[in-house]
Amino acid sequence: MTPLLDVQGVSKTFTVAGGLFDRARGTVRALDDVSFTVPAGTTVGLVGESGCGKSTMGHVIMGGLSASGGQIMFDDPALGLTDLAKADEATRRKTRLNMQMIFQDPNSSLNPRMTLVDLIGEPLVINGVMKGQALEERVAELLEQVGLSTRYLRRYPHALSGGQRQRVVIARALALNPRLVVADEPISALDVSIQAQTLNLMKDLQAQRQLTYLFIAHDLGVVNHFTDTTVVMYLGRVVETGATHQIFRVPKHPYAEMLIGSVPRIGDKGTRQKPAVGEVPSAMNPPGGCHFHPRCPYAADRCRTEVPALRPMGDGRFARCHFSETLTLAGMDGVPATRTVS
Amino acid sequence: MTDAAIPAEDPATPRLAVLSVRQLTWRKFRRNRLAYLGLCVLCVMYLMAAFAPFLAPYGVRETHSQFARTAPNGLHFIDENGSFHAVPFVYGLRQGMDPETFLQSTIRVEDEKYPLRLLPRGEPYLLFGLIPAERRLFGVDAPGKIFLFGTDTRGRDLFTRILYGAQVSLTVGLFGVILSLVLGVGIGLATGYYGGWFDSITQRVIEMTQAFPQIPLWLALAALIPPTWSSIQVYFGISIVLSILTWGALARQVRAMVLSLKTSDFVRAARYSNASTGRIMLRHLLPSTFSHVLVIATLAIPAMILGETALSFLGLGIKAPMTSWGLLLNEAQSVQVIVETPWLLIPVVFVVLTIISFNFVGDGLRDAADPFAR
Amino acid sequence: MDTPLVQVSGLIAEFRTEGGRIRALNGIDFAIPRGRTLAILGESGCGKSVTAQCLLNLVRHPGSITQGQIVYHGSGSGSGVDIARLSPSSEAMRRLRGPEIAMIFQEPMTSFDPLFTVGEQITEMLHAHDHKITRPAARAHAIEMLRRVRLPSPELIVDRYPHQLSGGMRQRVMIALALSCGPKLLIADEPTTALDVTTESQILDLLRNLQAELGMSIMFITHDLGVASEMADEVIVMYLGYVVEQGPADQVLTAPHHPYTRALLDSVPKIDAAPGTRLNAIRGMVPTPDQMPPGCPFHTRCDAFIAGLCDRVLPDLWPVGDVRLSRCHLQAPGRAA
Repeated sequence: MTPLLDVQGVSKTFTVAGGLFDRARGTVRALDDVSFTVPAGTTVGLVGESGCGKSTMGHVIMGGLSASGGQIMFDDPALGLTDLAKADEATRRKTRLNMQMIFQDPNSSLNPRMTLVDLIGEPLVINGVMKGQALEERVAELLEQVGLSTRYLRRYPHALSGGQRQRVVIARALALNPRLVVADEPISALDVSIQAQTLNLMKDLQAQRQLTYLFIAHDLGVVNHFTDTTVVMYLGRVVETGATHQIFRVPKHPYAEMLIGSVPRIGDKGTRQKPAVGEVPSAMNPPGGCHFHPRCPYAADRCRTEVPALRPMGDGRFARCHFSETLTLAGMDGVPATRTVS
Repeated sequence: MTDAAIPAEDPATPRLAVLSVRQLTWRKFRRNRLAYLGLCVLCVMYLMAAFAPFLAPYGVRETHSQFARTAPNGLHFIDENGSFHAVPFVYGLRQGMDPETFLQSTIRVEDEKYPLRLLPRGEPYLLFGLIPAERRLFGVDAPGKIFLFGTDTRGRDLFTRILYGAQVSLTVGLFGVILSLVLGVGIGLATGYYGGWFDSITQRVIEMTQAFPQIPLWLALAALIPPTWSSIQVYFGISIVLSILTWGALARQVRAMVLSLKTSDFVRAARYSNASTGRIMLRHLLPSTFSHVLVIATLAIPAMILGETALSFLGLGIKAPMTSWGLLLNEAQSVQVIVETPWLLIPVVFVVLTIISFNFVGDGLRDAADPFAR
Repeated sequence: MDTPLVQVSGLIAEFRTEGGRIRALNGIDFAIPRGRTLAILGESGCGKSVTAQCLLNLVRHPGSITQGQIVYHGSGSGSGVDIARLSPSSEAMRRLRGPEIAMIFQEPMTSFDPLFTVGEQITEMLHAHDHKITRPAARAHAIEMLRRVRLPSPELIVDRYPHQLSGGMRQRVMIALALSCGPKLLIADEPTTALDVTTESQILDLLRNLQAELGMSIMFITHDLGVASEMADEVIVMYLGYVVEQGPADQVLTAPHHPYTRALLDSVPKIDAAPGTRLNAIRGMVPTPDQMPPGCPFHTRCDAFIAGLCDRVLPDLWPVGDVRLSRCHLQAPGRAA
């Protein structure tokens, strides 16, 4: 069964300009040999901390940024299997009818000078799908599907609350009936009590419309609830993939273990599996070999020089660590360790 | 239970929520009293200019040669004996010798009183250049003269000439700004969006024009206007000269805004919906620059008015038979004038009032421009 | 030493807007115990940041404290000083800010002056509160503070500019700055919200260790239930400017009384929940402060809503057991819980 999206070895390098004539001063490998698959109808989480490249990956898939290498195979219903990385603009325009993006900040992703009907209807107008009365009816339908009253049709975004604005963003993303929705931190900017509402809405919409989500997030609790499989990224590389609940129970990569162990949990006063060490290094100057080795409690000599390959661990899981087979790492319900002073 | 749906009984949305950005900006503007006052003053000025032939008691070229350099001969309610007249009047005038200076000058004759007449018939004229009319707002019967602001060296009523001068002074700035706007916004949008070498070259050109001191450059460019050009041609020529130096500032501001908006999420969202570059520029980028562009334009107009005034004052601007405030001031250049006929400086008051009002309005617009006050 | 460090009673703060006067705080009472951590838990609009501003007497115009007391018992004996009565720019207030009460903020980048080194900003603070301190002594103290917050090579960091440091390091520097005059109370306003989760866990560890070493109290403002659970001894839950629940953290967050706390706990996605379970979202939206519902502020979204009562009468903050308080009619005295 061909996955809806199959990312293979994608890399993306930025040149950092500077100096008197904007000469190239250095390079940043925002994405380095990134591979994962997104089966149709599922939700795949893309997780990592700052600098890991998850947002960049989202924009490379959407075509806002071009990939420096690799393939992005998208199973387009009209065009068939298309490599997005090598597609020209004309092909891109056709594929965009089937994939859309939900942005993080509803305040900056909605043009404040346009009414809701203009905002949500814009994709339909641009692509010549419909206009006039039919358009308005379609927009009204979309508003109802995301739980907003149609009396907001002619209102402006500033008339709505943050949660309502995000619903407008979702409605706009669904206007063209896409198969794939890339959601870039869709609830991070919302209040805690609204996050749950929005997540439930997204889940309902997925069931109703057979959507596939690529869910970019940093909050592991949300990822646990929402995703079927998870891709963990660190400094531009994929370090672990697999079924979400498996990764959270028994991770195979030391970074995943550190990440899971760092999440503050209710009722867990002060107990910590293993305290986190160090900070994410700058993307301009990543450590050699395995990027994680300076912070890894299990690092050995070869980790400093040899980049580990992303290897299958069985059960559809992959991990990029020299010692994944031999390490037993603690997940969410690991043995509580004694607290050590950091 | 569909918790995803917002409950039907929405908390009543306040009225503010229904207004568009434009309406919100206007509300905020109105609350700034100085700005609102400025706007009212400007409206009065422009109405004055539009209705100049109706409001002026005399024709713009009408000379009263025996009454040159006459001090203001205005309306009185109370006469020399202290009695009150319901209808105000002007005193008669005659040429005679001033007992103090022994110079020929105009003397007030207190025995003759000419009452104010409303809507008298006078020389026919064309209102707005189109509508033939005969009546003016006010006047006095011949041989009475009503010189509200006095007369100049050739015996022309200054009040009349100020009204007609307003027509030129207040509009030359507008044309100049419109020219600058079209050029500045267009170039700003293009350079901001595309960048590259086109952007670099344009920025250097703009920097060069900005580096020149404004008035000397205006003078030099104005001197290039052929003396054989008619008054109207000179008028448009001056507009172009004034706008040459201001489009650069506008273009830079628009470019800066486009650079920062180019990467914002709503532009990205439009691109991911397959919006064309033209649509992004016109529908998304341009409207976001409106408020800033409006403020700059409003603040550029006084500079243009001052520019035209300076040019005409120095004799390089508007040519007769057209009048402008600057040209009126051209006749008030010597110390002798200030001593003997100080009323010839009254146009300064109008210039200052106009410029201050534009500045208040511009400031008010700038404060009101972002009604969301990010 | 049973007197709390800070006792807040009946605090009301109002903001004058074009729509009228809006109450950001509706008469809140709480106490910050000595040497322990109190967490203020709530979402945006609940008034938690305003509370922190009130404690430092820094409520910005058009807001102001209109009623109530904030009594600071610094020295332990004596009656303490009422911060609400002091003028914000008075000498007495300036002597409190820094040596007695300090604050750390959410965005370390915008809290520093980008033109001065980290060391210069710390020594400026020291100099402001002790004019006689010499420059070498101030610098040594600054380096010592940087070492205290576990920064590597503090003698090098002291000469760095804020933009040269990472987010986690900046937050540590901010903590060093706040603690440089040895305050008894540290107010932390969402200090880890902008940080990566691995960095966040380290900062939280650091704060707990510093509290144990220095014996200071912490007032920790957050919207994250997990963080509150980890850090706090006592927790108060705020909603729309009211305290709705109060008590020891481990009790409130595992066995809440108030429907809002309960609903919040249910709706938050947790990493240790069974996968694929549906979240119990709280219905409706937080009303804007100018549309305060009559009676109980939460009744419009409450599953246990009692018509005729909850929409008419504001519940008091009633005691439930010995150590807990809850503002709900369900916990009114005399009612079967």
